[in-house]
Amino acid sequence: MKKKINKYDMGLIAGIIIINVLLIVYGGSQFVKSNNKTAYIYSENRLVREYVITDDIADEITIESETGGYNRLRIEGGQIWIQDASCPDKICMYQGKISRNGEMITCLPNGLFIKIVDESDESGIDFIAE
Amino acid sequence: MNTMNKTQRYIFLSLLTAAALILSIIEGMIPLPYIAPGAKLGLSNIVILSVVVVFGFKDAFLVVVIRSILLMLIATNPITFIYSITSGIVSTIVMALGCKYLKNIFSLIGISVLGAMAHNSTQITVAAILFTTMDLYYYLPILSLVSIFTGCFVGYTAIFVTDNLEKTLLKLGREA
Repeated sequence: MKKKINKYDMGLIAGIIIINVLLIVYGGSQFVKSNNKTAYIYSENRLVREYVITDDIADEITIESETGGYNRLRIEGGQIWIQDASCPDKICMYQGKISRNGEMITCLPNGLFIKIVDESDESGIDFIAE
Repeated sequence: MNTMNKTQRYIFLSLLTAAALILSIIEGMIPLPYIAPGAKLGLSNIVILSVVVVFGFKDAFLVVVIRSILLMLIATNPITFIYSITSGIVSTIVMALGCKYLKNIFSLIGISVLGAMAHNSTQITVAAILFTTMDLYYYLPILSLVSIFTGCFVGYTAIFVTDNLEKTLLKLGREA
């Protein structure tokens, strides 16, 4: 077993970095800002709520999972985010505010999945898996 | 390690399992800036990779499975367990294959990066199956970039760990 970092390691690392930076740049270009968007809220694989988000809506939703967890969602100024959650890691809260087509929030412990879909988008790159 | 008898082997593996378990728990206590869901240090991978190198795949597999079960009982929940055991097993398989077939090309750092990538991909695949959506693969590039840094760190540490572990085991073999 080789003890030190060598040129093949460097090559592997450089390759992975280049591929992923390209993927991130490509993925970022897919986000489009729009005003006609719907937030689809899934809990444990079921679509529990569809919410048309406009800039003048302000609302709070609490989604409870079957396992007893909860996520409190806040919608304001055309953005949606998680204000409070029962999960231990709070990763869903750290994912911040989402507002653009294709952006999403996931909470693995509570099985929550929120996704924003731009309804005026006709290219059809995002379709919802039933 | 043929110099060890069965008991010594079991004792060493239990100690290493305990070390992996404790590293997993400590890792949960370290506050990290949020990057993407599922991004973490993977400190217990240091132990797993060392076991793969020194003891071989079968023992590493045991260590991973036992660590995941114990971690579920101590610190996390059954849902996290599904993620940790599947990705743990797949990354162990990848690292073992890497140690077997690629050890003349890559150092432990490269193998550990491959293991970390396998870990992330499996985690996202499991999440995509549980959530029945392919959208989660959007996180894969970000997680892969993070895994390069953690993978380098884990690999570099594992070089020192395997070095010392092999010396200790040799000494043990001479005394026995």
